[in-house]
Amino acid sequence: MDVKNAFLNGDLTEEVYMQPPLGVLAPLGYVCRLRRASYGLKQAPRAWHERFVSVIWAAGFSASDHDPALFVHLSPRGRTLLLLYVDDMLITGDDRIIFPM
Amino acid sequence: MKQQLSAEFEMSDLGPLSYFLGIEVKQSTKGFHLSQSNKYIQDLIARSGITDDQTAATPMDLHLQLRLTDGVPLQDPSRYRHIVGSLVYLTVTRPDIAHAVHILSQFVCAPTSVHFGHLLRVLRYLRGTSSQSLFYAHDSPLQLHAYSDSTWASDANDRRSITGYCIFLGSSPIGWKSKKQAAVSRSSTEGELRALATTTAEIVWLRWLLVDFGVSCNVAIPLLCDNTEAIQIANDPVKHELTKHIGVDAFFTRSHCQQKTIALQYVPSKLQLANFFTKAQTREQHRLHLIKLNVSIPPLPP
Repeated sequence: MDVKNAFLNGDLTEEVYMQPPLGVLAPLGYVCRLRRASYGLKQAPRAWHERFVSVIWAAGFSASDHDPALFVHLSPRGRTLLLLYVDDMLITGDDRIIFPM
Repeated sequence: MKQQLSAEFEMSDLGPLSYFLGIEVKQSTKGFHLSQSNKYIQDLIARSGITDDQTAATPMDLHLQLRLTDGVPLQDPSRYRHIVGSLVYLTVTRPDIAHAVHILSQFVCAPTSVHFGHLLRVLRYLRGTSSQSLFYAHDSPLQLHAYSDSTWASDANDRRSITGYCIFLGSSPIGWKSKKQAAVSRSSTEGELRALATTTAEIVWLRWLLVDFGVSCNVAIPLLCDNTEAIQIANDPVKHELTKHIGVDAFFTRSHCQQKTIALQYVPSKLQLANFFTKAQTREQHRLHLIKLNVSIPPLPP
């Protein structure tokens, strides 16, 4: 699985402003306030990772203590492993509901 | 679960695993073949400026001792650095060049004509073996075992030794390293003890990781070493006169022997697979090591 435009998903905790990009009609002297992270921000990778972790936690996964990019989901039916590399992920496991064979 | 994620993020499902982080995965009825693309190697060769069609049987000359001062400094060192950097990435699926790349990467700050010549040899070796892949069998048992080896004072510049290890899960190689040790060893046994400590640290981590994967791991992992003295010293505090200056490494390995995380075993040098990661091999040895590391030519697509 691959997430499109991953860094646009991050939430910002700081106030960040930018010059209106070309093609955006803004009154002279105005700047844009970012409501989400964007490419080129130094906090974007971290913001994306935190957002992903919060979503994957809500789905019942927890990060491995031994590899922070490995997320494990345990259920009585089996185990699901998710390996994340920025916005690319591998998902595998033996949980029959998540992996109907 | 995929729907759950897709509801939050815009995602694309790429189907069964075939390509991840530049690694090609081919599935067959017997298992998985992992490789990096042939094109990556061809592009590197093109960028290196090689004009002939020669290939080499092994990546490095036997008994090669490179020094910082060999040859004349390259006018433009960036090409050397670029190729070495690309080769480091290639070692992800090519354990057979790990040692040669480790040696050549020590000269990136001031590469010379001689270093560049040996770099070209690695590329010529790759040209002849570009379709090689690592094979991971479906029916491989889920038990770890590891090989650890060390040279002694092999570096001509600073007399430090090289650690080599490889770790298998059943028949599949899952970890390997070729790395110059941080301190100078006064004896081969001392070098071996440092290598054992490095390998033990990796095993400790892999054991934890396997438990996360749901693979129980409650037996001592066989760690094979070809130096009986190092095994004795790692098992018990013997030979005080020889070892009193060795710091943490012997204690670390010994504590894991006592906790039964690892079990040290002797292996004769000619069966020592980690040897592959400490020195250049003859053609025959090289071929033998490739077989042991489950290296194969991938099957043609159906």
